[in-house]
Amino acid sequence: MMRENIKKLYANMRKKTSVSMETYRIIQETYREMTGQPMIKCRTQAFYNIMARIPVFIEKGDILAGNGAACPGGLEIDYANGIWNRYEIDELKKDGYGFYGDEEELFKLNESVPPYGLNDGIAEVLSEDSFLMPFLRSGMALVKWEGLEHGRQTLQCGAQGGLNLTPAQALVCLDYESALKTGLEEMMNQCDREMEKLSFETTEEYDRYIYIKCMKKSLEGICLYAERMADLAGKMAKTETDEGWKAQLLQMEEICRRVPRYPARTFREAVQMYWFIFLTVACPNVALGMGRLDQIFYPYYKKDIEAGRITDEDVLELFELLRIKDYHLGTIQSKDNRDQTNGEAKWHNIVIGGVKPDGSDAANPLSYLILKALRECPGAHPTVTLRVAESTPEDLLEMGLECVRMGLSMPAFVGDKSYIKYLTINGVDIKDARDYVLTGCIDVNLPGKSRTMTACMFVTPMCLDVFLNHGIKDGMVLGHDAGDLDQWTDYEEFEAAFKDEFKYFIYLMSQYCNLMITSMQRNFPEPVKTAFMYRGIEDGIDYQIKQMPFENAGVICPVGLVNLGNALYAVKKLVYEERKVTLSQLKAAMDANWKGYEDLQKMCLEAEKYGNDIDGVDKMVGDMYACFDEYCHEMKCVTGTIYRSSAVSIFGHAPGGAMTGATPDGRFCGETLADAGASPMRGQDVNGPLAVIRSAIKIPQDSYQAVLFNMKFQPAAVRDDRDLSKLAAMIRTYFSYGGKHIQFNIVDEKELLDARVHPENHEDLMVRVAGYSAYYVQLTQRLQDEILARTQNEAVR
Amino acid sequence: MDEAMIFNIQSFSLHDGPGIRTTIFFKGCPLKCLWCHNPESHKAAPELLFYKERCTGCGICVQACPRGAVVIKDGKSVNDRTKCAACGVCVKVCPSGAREISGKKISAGELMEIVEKDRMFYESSGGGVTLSGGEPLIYGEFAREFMERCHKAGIHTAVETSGYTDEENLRRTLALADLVLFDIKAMDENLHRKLTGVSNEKILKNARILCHNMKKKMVIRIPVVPGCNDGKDNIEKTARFIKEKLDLSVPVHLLPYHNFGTAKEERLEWERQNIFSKPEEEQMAQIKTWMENYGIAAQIGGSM
Repeated sequence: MMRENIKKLYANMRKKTSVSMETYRIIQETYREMTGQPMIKCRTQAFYNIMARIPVFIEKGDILAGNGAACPGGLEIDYANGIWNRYEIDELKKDGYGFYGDEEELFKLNESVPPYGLNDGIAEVLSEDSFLMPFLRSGMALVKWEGLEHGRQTLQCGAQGGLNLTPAQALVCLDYESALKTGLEEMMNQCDREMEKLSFETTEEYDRYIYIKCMKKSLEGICLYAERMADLAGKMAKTETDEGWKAQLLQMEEICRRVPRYPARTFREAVQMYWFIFLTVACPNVALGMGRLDQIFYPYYKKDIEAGRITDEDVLELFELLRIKDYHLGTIQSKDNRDQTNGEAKWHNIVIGGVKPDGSDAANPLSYLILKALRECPGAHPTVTLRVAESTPEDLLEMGLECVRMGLSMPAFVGDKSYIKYLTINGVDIKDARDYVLTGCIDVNLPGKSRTMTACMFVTPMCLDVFLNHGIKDGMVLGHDAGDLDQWTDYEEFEAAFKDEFKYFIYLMSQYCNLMITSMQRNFPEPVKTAFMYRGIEDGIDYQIKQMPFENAGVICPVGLVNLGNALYAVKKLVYEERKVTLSQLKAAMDANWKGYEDLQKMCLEAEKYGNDIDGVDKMVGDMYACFDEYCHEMKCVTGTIYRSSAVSIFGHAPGGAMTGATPDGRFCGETLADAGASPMRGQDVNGPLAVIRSAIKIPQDSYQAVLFNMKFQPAAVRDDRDLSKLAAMIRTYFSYGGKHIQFNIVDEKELLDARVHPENHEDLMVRVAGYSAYYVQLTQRLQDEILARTQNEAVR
Repeated sequence: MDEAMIFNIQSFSLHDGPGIRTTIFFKGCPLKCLWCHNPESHKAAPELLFYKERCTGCGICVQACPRGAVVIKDGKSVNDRTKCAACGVCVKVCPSGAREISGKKISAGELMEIVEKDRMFYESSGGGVTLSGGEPLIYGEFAREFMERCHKAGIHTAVETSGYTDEENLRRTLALADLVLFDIKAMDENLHRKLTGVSNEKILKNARILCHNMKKKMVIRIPVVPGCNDGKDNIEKTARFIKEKLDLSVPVHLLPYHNFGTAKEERLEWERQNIFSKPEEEQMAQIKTWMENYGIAAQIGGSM
């Protein structure tokens, strides 16, 4: 049962947020004071000043100290991402959000030090004539650039929850486990020792000295923030008349005096310490690993339970608070983006289950309590992922499925087998590999030992679209002219020509991603985050720059590979095997968006499609997966390694489809692409869910960082508990054959339809978009349509 | 008979026996239940399914039909079912996908290849294959050959039957089934005739043979159709029959009527004759209690 204090906080959870300008002001002031000093010092001092000056508060009943903004339920203006001007603030208020601060002061501040963001760093080396501009303008890489100036403001204005500096876009999971054991005091001592060791024979040592000094300063800042929370709790306790709450405040004071400076001793201290680090170091960031919480906290839980210091109800209370408090670390964007994007998407990912580094099963009572907290305290964030190993207890798996059946659209399920294999084939030690976490949707990383700096969406069917169009898209020359479309005598020749061009587009993508990574490395050093990464203090090199034990800095997410495979299969069959149509005739039909060519479209639609366990077309899709992966590996990443592939469409299948012309799979121009990675095109899987799974295991998934797979079921299909064990068996089978991920939408079609007419009655209706959950009514019309049209599996009778 | 006529193979059936199952729907049935939710299963021959809402009235099918069975009326095509031989020519030419043929012949070997593909799921879930319909027992020889192959391959078999067949076929065929899902629709002879078109004498006798002589593992399934067989009298008679003539160890699945069949009737262009409502949850619970009062293990729905 949810405790009374949590009930109240939960009831307020989904209230509309307020945008606050406190960190914005602090950063502006710091930068003015420090004009002329090195960027790393400016950023460090700004961080320290936020820790020292951000207004602090404790809401009644909230026993976890620390908040992501200056006001309850607020978000801080994202300094790196543009300016909130009068228009935006007015629109914000019209949409029911609040503004915390003095608006006139904000507009003045906007003039003071112009914000500098990630795209500004990229734009430094581009001009309107650059070879990359047509590519960026085409939308093949999402999000589309409208032009150099506009591109600089891709994210326009934003606000996020969390106290660190932006842009901070890397997908990462900090090494919480070590930090909780070490304490920040000892980490600062370590900084001193490292600085003492340095001599000044090389420039690197000078850089490292400054870097470590900045780390130490930042760690001091975090301790200071905790002290301020302790002071506040103590002060509030003095005047508090409610005895119960007063006792809680006093306990909070005591805990905040200890952590994060010293190692956590109890479960409560561990959670509080975790939260301080998460709040001040990891956030803001929309795509984060929250870590294996059942593993991180278990030693503290075990000790407390054995000593009788804590009950499962106490644990549940803290887990529920973590959910509510993380929910508040949201994001909000400009009016334009609010209207066009994706339901305030966020990917904070809690991982449970799986195996331990020694290979034994990792499930423990906390795994169940985290699911219980999800069940009692649902919300679209944070998401939960259940790692499924052969040894995963059946009741844990079924409890996860029960949550899904309740309509929570989480946990997601991932297969240990393929995830661990991905890491070991890339040279990761088996013990580290078994400790993997999910960051972002379902992208793999190692806590503290790896990070993904870009995971950009790349619209693959558009490559074919542009190839057939002689390298031109919307009047811009973006690729090469392939010449006469009827020049190829067989499919192999055609495919070879296309693949050359496909590879070229992936090359352009890698160039863009390289610029993004470099912009992060050069312009936005993150010493405080580095301190919580593997050998962060010893090495004294920014975690964005140095080689990590597992190097996956550059990741490209192909969107629509299923459509591309289907399309190529139709070309192969109709143009080159059956010779029913020439490629130029097909092109003419697609240019006309099939108008007047309905018979040809029918033929294209009738060509076999992926998702029905038909070898020919499944192999084509599988080949395209392998080909994309191979080409990524040939691209050099500025971190000194290669690019990696992750088949996660995020939300790119909607805008990506909108910008792609008609394709030879019979798809109309502008039609939304297949969602996720291994999901078939909507309505084209006609042989039932098992055939889809058999198709999906033909995709070479092991070499992908992630392969997303969504399925939709009628609630009636899995009403009985025994049905859940059958679903569980299906999941285990899929994973044992090399599947990486599966997620279900168990939702009544009628409810989705009604939600479009009466959104006010369905505010809590959650769905899985691709790798994240969202409130259905907050999604764009296009994504709503797409989810509604996904094939609905029903087990009749 | 080396081939059978089927109209659907549904993998991932969750409610037709234990585990994840592949259900094979045979075409043809000696019963004509008023509420039948698979109306295309009645005739043991191919039939045209027409999706009127997709028809654009283009008339290509009119030209194509070799028997002159199609005309255009009010902007939609209309099919003369007395002339239609379900040859499928119109299906091939229809540009809007408004036409489909239900029913195709399949050999036991071909069917085996299809169900083998789902084997990985049978193994993890304790599932298998379910023969349903229509009435699978009208293809006795085929069913025996197919189930023998399943057993050799280690695949669990279940047969869902109306029980309306002669004793020899019943004994020979169901001897090969690991589980029988046996439908009892009504106890009263006249009521049964009215609802299904046939007497239930054979059915009840066969149920006893299965239970006592063959000692078959079986489940009694009762489709609960409001206004047809949902009265206390019929339910209690059924319960008494199970208790006295069969065995209390035989479980009962009460399957609430659903109206998925009505859309299919439209595709067959049947005149709508019977409209039933779905039973309420409370009513299902009540029926379950009536059964349980006789000591019968009853459940709502077909989950196992």
